[in-house]
Amino acid sequence: MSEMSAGKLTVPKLMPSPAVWRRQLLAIMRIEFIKALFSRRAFSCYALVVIPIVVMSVAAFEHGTDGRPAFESIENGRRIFGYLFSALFIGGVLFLGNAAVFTALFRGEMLDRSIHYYLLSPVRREILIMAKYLAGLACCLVLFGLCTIICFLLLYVPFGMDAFITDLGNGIVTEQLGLYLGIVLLGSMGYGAVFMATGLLFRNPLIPIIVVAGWEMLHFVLPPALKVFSIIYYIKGLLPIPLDEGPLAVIVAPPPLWVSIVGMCALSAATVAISVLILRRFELRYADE
Amino acid sequence: MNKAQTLTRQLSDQCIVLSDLSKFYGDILGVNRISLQIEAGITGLVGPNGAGKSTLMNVIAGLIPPTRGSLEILGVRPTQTEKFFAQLGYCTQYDSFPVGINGYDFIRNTLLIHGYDRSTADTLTMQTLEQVSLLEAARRPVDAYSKGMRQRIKLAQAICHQPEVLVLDEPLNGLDPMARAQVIELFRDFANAGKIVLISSQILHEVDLISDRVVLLNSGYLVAEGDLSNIQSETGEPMKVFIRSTDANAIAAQVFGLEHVVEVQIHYDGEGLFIRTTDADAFFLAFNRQVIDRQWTIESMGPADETVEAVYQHLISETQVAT
Repeated sequence: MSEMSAGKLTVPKLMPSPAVWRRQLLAIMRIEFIKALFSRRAFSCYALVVIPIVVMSVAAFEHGTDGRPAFESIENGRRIFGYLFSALFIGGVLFLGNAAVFTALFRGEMLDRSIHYYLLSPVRREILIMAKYLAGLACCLVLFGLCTIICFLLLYVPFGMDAFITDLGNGIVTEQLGLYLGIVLLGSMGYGAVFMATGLLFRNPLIPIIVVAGWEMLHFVLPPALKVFSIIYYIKGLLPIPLDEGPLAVIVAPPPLWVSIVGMCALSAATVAISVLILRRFELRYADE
Repeated sequence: MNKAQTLTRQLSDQCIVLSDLSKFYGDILGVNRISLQIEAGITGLVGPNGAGKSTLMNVIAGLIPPTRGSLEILGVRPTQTEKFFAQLGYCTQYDSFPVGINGYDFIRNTLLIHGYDRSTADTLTMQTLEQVSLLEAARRPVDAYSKGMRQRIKLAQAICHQPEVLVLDEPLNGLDPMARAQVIELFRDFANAGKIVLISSQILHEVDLISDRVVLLNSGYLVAEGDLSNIQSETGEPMKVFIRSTDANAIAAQVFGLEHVVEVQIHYDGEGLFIRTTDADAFFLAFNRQVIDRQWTIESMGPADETVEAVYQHLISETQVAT
């Protein structure tokens, strides 16, 4: 042990201020982002994002007996991509990926018995919640946003660069990709807020994940008053292809774009606020884990 | 606010104040009706397994809220998160760390989360790691540290922001004798700087050596608190005194007649004796008179069993008899 005495350290006293709050927010975000993206728990998310890429790759490189692409035409390809995105990506990858990332933000640390390091820090609980939430959101945007971009670009493989440049010139690529990325953002905001709260509330988040999945699957039979509490209600309205027919049809008309955005932001903010209240009343008992 | 209230307020702004504090886990008692005032210096929290030490530590550290009663550290309640945790350092008994982190990042991240800028955090990290002799192991994963190193990195995490109050749950566990001595010296430095150091331990003789005061807990209840000799005299526990003298036999013959002396033993070399008395103050008064009157030669004299363990055993046995 060093000869240095405790009194030799010169620590400037930190006074709560916006500058300190910003530094705390960024520090926690950085730590949590790295943890969410590179820890062992992130492997399940990597496995999830590979699935649609593999499916799209198979479809993109598949040719019929007549040598024509499986998508037949670019318009048909965009529609198939829409169905795939709606069924496989939103219902599976985005939902489960968000569940994995956001429930681990608190529950994972409780299992690792390391949450007390945060709870012993002079950080406002709302800053801690916001920082973890934003880190989870950033992680999901990187993983699922990249996955969406790759899958969308794979759509153009059978039709060549010319078709891509034409669609880019027409604004189809930017419009549709923007909407898909918007769905990833809004979906992650909504699911993330819900799963962060369940990770704080429940010792075993699997049951609430199943309950939320059931609620989301049944949203089309819910009365309008309850439908607003369904995340899929807001995000499916953003899909750039009509889903008013076929097995994936949205039974009621989707909300306008601005309602989707405002509604999703409001729902996420309310759920994050609930998480702050839960954390303020939180009682650390590792023995129960 | 009148003068007395102002004075009380000022005093409580320099202490840890627990008022009628209880913590129940459902029907299970953690601690019950604890009222305490812990001042600057080193206070030892003593008790066997299940006494409520860790519960009390966790309540004081703000990790669990009390079921009843209140807690203030230097006049700040745990709900005032920023002020409360800025002045508190807590070394927990949990031997767990963020997965895969190295010692340097562990301390640096703590300081960044506190809100320090990067350069200050870097400087403080180096200083703190030097303080706990972990500079060489700073870049190694904490998971690969030995038990003693893990204990020291936890200690570094608790002191890196130089808190006014240091709460340490079993801080000497796993440390080799040399490291123990150095860590104890560090606690003493903190106490000498006018800070509050609260240490819980089951190793009673160490608490004895370190602490200025002790808090004795048993089955969730506060059994006694304060300066060890005061507790001893207040509890009426017979005190054992060792006297080194060439007149040991003569002394033994005389003091045995004193009312409050219950036992006298001559040391095997014949030049010392152990005396057990129920009233230490009265004994010393009477003994001093006899020494002057009879011209005895006294080489040394002092308490032979003024230890936390002795007091604790006495109090526990009293409690068991009472129940």
